[in-house]
Amino acid sequence: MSYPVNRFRRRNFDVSVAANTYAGELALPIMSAALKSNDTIAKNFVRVMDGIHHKAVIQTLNANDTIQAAGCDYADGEDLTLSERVLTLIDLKVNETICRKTIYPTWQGTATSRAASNLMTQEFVNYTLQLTAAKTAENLETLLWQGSAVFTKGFLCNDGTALASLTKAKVDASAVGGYTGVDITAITNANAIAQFNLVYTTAATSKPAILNKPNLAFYVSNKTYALYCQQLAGLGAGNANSLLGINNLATAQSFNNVTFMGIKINVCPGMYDDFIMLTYEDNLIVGTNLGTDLNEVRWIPAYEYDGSDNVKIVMQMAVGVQTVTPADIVLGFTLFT
Amino acid sequence: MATSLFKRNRRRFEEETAEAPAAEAAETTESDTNSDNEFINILTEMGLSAEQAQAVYQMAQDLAKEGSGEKVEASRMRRARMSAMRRRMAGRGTRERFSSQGREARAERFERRERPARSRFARSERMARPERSNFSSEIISRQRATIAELRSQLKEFGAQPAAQRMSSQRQAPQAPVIPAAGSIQERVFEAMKNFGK
Repeated sequence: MSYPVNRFRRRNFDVSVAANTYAGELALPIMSAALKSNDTIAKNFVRVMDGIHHKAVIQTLNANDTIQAAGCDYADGEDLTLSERVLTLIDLKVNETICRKTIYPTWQGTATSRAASNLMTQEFVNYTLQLTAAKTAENLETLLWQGSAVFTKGFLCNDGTALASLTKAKVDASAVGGYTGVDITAITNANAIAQFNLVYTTAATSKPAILNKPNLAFYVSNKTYALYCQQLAGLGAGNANSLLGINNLATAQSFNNVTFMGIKINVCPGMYDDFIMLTYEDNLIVGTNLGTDLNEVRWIPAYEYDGSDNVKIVMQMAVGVQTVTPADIVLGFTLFT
Repeated sequence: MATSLFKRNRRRFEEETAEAPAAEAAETTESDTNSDNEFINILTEMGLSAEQAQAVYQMAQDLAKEGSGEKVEASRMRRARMSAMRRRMAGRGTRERFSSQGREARAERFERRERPARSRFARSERMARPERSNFSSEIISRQRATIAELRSQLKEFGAQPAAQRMSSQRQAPQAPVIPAAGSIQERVFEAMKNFGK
């Protein structure tokens, strides 16, 4: 029995297409996951602006009392002030090498399908990209708040200095520069409520307008939040009302959606400990170049070219942070004085 | 011997065929005239004047002609469709399906399909099928008329689809939805898994 060769199916092109580069739209699912999966962005604690090529101008219109006495002539009230804040993106990249020998058994263990060959399937490519994207998202969470030498300005610091050596000058040079400050002491499970109250009191006395803003929230680190919950449970000293904590349930209760005076608390793992920030979510902006042709993801099978057993993952992206009205941010920290 | 017999038969056949249509035509005309007169007589007996009966007869004739014309057209179309279907079905029997000949026939069909329609038939072949092209042009013109009518109706209602130009701008790509629940790795996995679904 012979099968005739179908000459219409035989197509030989002189072009070889590499399927391991994801640029522009193709990079979107990977880059979005890498940039937006951290708590601060995924939980909508900030406003995100995508599609920025390099800079974005955020315009704000401030108005004093615009109503005046009626008259025959036109009299300019000059009550509207247009100001702007510029959000500049910082170009970043990820260059990672993953050894197939190391990662492949892990993937085989987690993959549900049984692969009979040692080929780098699309699932394996996706798996390595996902792992790298997840680590990138974790890293970006810290960069957003603390900045770094390459990312420069974060929300709370301009160069990623550790809390131990952080100075007020660095906080002033960060994206929240121009904030309304209040001095608090190092937070423990005995004084957390008091420190929250200091920040709240400053807002009530100096910036009462922000208390009516939608999406108003306290921003704290994991540690600060944990200490606050402990004190609520009656574990720390200073809970004068009851040693059994709120609801008289002591530690036998879950602390979900905990608030302070009805204001929700956003827990951002990238924040410094001993910092309590009170502002509305629209006031904090994260800009990215997602959706443009400027971001790119590459999965390079280096093992095919250099005799190694490695795959290389490259991501090109740009991210930046900015605040709209810094004066509407009440920031409590120990370095204030 | 055989040749002379053939020639004789042929001559007889030619004579018969030459005579038959003339006789047939004469018969038809005669019978037609008789039936026409009978029809008109019946009408006059029913109380119509001779002119009225003639007019009614003429209308009936016209209607019958139009009806028969449509019938011919429909039957032609049906025949063309059936023959096309038969051609498609040809060679698809169980025996042929599994035989090497059947495979070759299929391959041949496939090849034919790959070629552009214009080169599928020779020019002379295409010219020999004027009725098919007439039908398609009739159908197209009828559809055009229907579309024009529908468009005018839509215009009356205020909707003008032809006036609305489709935007040439590409739709912005949709970013994947990042779930808020779970760890960062779970969010990444979910977002990439659900992208484009």
